Amino acid sequence: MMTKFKLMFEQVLLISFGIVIVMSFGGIFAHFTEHDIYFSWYHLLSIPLTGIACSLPSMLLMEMEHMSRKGMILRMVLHCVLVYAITMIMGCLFSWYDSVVGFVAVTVSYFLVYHFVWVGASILGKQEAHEINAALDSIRDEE
Amino acid sequence: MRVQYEQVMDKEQECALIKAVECTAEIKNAIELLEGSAAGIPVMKDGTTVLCKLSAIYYFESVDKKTFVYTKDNCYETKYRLYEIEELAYPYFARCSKAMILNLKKIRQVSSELGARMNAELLNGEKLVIARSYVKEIKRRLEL
Repeated sequence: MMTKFKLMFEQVLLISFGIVIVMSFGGIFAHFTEHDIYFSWYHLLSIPLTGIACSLPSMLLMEMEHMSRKGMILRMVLHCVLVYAITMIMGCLFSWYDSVVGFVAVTVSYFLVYHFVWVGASILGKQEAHEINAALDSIRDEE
Repeated sequence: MRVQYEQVMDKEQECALIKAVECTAEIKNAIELLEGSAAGIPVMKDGTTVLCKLSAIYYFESVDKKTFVYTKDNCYETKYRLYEIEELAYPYFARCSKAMILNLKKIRQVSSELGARMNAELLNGEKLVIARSYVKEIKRRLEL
């Protein structure tokens, strides 16, 4: 239970950080294209709230050790779709976008960040496996 | 061979360093003895109880409250529960999932998988899954 809570908390932090990064780049882009954006009081609040809401589908990705590859991919696709739906609903509620262009921009940002997170996790996983293999070399039994 | 003994105050600091020209059978026995893998646990098969050396065990699995012991080509049953085995076979036996304890010395290689879990290929060709929540502990055991 504690592990699940810890994982969810990590997800909240990661997602909130991702939103801050996207908003920061959005701000920089807007500034240099002479379309400065201004934030309302609820925009800051929307970041942790979206982080918490988007961490809930992470339950789908837990305890997948006995699952087939097909089942895992299915859950991951479902996770991506659910998090996307939550992001867009929160975006609508907190006025992250007010036009089709804004909607498309948030959608593109979402898929970029989602893709980046999985690619990053995959690279880190491979590095971790490499480190473990190197350590196993020194203790491995001969058969 | 000259043997030196030095007292330490902490269990974590305990270690043995053997310097030798080659790793002879005697040295291998000494290593097994020091690591505790020369010790055995009673296992059952077809109504007979035998002693199985920890060094011969690949992994333990708990299924329906029964604990099974897997060696290179055999499967036995033991009365020990997984949490007891964890203490008994420390440090080279580590949990890889809720229901499995794996002998780290029998892993040929690990590879990363989807969802941050890992696959472990054993020396006998079997493949097991290491759940992501146990990767951290395995790394700690390997001093990473």
